[in-house]
This record gives sequence, structure tokens and C-alpha cells, in this order.
Amino acid sequence: MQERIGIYDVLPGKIRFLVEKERLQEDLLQEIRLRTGQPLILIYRDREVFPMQDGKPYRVQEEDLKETLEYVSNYSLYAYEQEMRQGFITMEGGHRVGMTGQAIMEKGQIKNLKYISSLNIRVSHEKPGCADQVLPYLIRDQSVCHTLLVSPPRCGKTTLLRDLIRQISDGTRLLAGRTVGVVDERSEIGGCYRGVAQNRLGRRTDILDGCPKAEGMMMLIRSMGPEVIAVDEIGKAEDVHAIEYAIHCGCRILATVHGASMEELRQKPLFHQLIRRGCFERYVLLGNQPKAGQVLGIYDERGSLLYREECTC
Amino acid sequence: MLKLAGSILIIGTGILAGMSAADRVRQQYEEMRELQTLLYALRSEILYARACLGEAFLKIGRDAGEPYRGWMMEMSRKMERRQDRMLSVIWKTGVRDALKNSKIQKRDLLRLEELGTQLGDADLEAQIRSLDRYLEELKHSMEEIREGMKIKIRLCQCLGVMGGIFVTILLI
Repeated sequence: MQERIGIYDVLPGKIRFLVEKERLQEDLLQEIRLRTGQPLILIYRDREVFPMQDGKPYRVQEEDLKETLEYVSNYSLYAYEQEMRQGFITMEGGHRVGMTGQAIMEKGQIKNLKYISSLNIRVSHEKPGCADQVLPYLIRDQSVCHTLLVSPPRCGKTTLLRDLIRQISDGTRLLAGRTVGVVDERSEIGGCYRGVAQNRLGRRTDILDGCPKAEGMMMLIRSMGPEVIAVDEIGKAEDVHAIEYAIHCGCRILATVHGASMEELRQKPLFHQLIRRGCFERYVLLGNQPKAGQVLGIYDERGSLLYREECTC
Repeated sequence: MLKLAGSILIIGTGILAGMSAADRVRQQYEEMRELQTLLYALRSEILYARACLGEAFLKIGRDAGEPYRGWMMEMSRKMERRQDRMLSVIWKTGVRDALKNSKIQKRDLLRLEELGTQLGDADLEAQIRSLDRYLEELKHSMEEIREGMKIKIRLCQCLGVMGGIFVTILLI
């Protein structure tokens, strides 16, 4: 694998120096927040850290944001026009950089953002083994169940999905390795850089990077013969239709969706239909208390609780 | 006999000097043409492939001749390292260091430096327009050189020969 860029490498020199001075464990750093004229904030172990300069919290300058954006976008903001429309860029390593500023509208739709005033660098972490407790409940009759991972933001859905893909692809003592097709629309699962996944996704995994989910699933089914298809953050009607098509084609599905609870999920019209029809065989509900990735419950298609992670608080 | 040999050598030197000067004129044109080709390739990489600049420089630089190869590869390396430098600084330093001995006219080099301040932005169309504007100006410079090239080459060669004959006569 190519050497991946460290998260600190996209920060301007003086901010990098202040952050490194804090001597934080990089794998516990969750977010770096830059807002013009406001103190620099790091979210570390679910707490805020304010790097200091001359005894005071360092205030982010406009030039700091400009420079960070240059580094994040590989000096090529134009290449990220599609992503900027959605308000974020995914950089090497799968880290998502959210941004706010002034929207440039064209024919009632967001064309781009200008005068970027805030950046939120969400650090992506690989946690090999985080699916160890979960995977056994997702296997039935030597096959992977159609599974939906449900949680609010920042609860570890993508991290868990990544490890599930890896374990299913490589195989475990419970399940022989399977061919997995991943539609990585936002480059967060594989963190692809120049077409090469920076995260470990297993030896039998094919990744479609930067491709819309619905089209991506069709492409994979037609050409790569996946036994399992994995997608992140489904939400649109076409995503759901593509999933139904994939299920009818005999593929097993691993997907994630935003939601605080099963009740909230049932209230969404698209998912209400899916749940009622029993398309998914397993629902994994995640939370972030006491830690991100806390398994609040694994449920079967009837809603019966199969597993809940012990709270070690 | 010695005088004859000396005369031939002096005239020969004059001829070579003239050919060398003529060659420089030709090389200047060739270098500008190569720069034009590279910038068209860059335009294509930006407009159609939406490639990041670092990747584009690496790809284009691999197939380019010197000094452009060194220029583009070095810029690509610096951009990969992200060493506290904005693109405009990397580009400007690159043009000044790698192309300082090139035969491109100074005004075209200054405009090339200026071009770097307009690349990398979110506005794709503005960048393409900046590239097109530079390419247009480069084309005019090349046309000026081409028009005068034949005459200059002949002039250099003639001056070389005449200079050699003149020195020979002086010495004889």
C-alpha cells in the first residue's frame, strides 16, 4: 500500500505545531474544527481540547483555512466540485472534511461553496477486530444475513462496516471468504487514493470508488459477481430500489443508515416498507455511550433482540 | 600553407559560431512549442479528467523532455509533501529554478509565473480561461519568433562566415 498521508499533514505549519505539542494519541483524535476567528478545537476522546498559543487558545485565521483547503484538496479544489456541493470533501485515508461558507446557487441548486468559514476534519479510524462480537450474529446457515447498521452520526457505523467487509472477504472460522463488492460513494470505507484502498478491506473485495450507490450496485452485479454488496449511508429511493434489485439477484447486503432507533427508522417511509417486507434479516443498532461503536442491540427481522453489548462504564 | 590552414580554421570557427547561434534560435522555438504541448495536456487533465494538479504534473512530466520534466516532477513531489507551501509559491519557485536556463523569452516566463496564481481554484472555468489566455499569448510569441526565424538563422550563418573571413583578413 502507498504511504498514507497523516491527518496532521493537511494542517498549516503553525497549527500543526500547536496540535503536535498537545501530544495526543492520533488514534483517539476524532475531529479537528477550524472556524475563522474562533479558537481551534480538537475533539479528543469525546472531549474538547483547545491548543494554546502564548497562554491563550489559538484563534484560526482566514489564511489557515485557505491553506488547509489547499492541502485537503491536493491543491485542486475544482476536482472536488461534486463533493463540495454536498458540503464536504473526503481526503486520502477516508477522512471527511466538512465545510460551511456561502452557497453559490444556480437554477435553485447548490453549485458550489465560497468564502469557506469553517472546516471540520472528521478523522477516520480503522479498528480491525471491532466486528468480532457482531459478525457471529450476522451469519446464518453459512451465509451472511442482509444486514442494516443503524446509528446517529459519529457512532462508528462506517468503522464497523469496514471491519465486517474485511472479515467476510478474508473469511473467519465461522464463514469461508466471500467475494465482496463495495460501492464507496464518499471514499470513506476504503479511503482510496489513486484507486488503491488505504484501509484494509480483505483479499476478495472489489471497490467502486466515488460512484453513486444505485449505479454502482448495478455495475458490480453485472460485472464483478459479488456474493456480498456493501454500501454506506443509504437514504434515497434509488438506493433502496437498487438494494431490492441486488437482493433479487442473490447478493447479500450490508448497508448503513442514519437513525437513532428502530422506531425512528420505521417512521421513514422508504425504510418502513423495507422493514415491513422483511428485506433485512439483521438490524445492528449502535450508539456512542460509553464509547463510539457501542452495540445497543442486534435484532432479527421480527425485532427480537439477539445481542446487546455489555456497558463497561 | 600555415596561413591557409589558419584561415580555414578561423572561417570554420565563424561558421560554427553562426550555426550555434542559429541553433539557439531554433531551440527557443522548440522549447516554446514543447511548453505549449505540455500546457495543452494540463488543460485536458483539468477539464476532462478533473485530475488533481499533482497527479497531472506527474503524468505530464514523465513524458516531457528537460527542463520541463524536472520542473513538473519537482512540483509534483512538493505538492505530495505539502510542506507549508501554497500552490502559487510552489509554481513560482519551480518556474524560477527549473526554467531559469531555458530559452523561453523573459516576458513569457513572467506570464507563466503569473499563471500559477490562478490554478487550483474551485472555479474550473476561470482556470481554463487563464490557461487559454496564456496559450494564446504563447502562440503569438511563437508566431513572432517563427516569422523572424528563417531570417535570423540565415543572418547568423552569414555573420558567422563573414566574421570568420573578416578576422582572417585582419590577421593576414
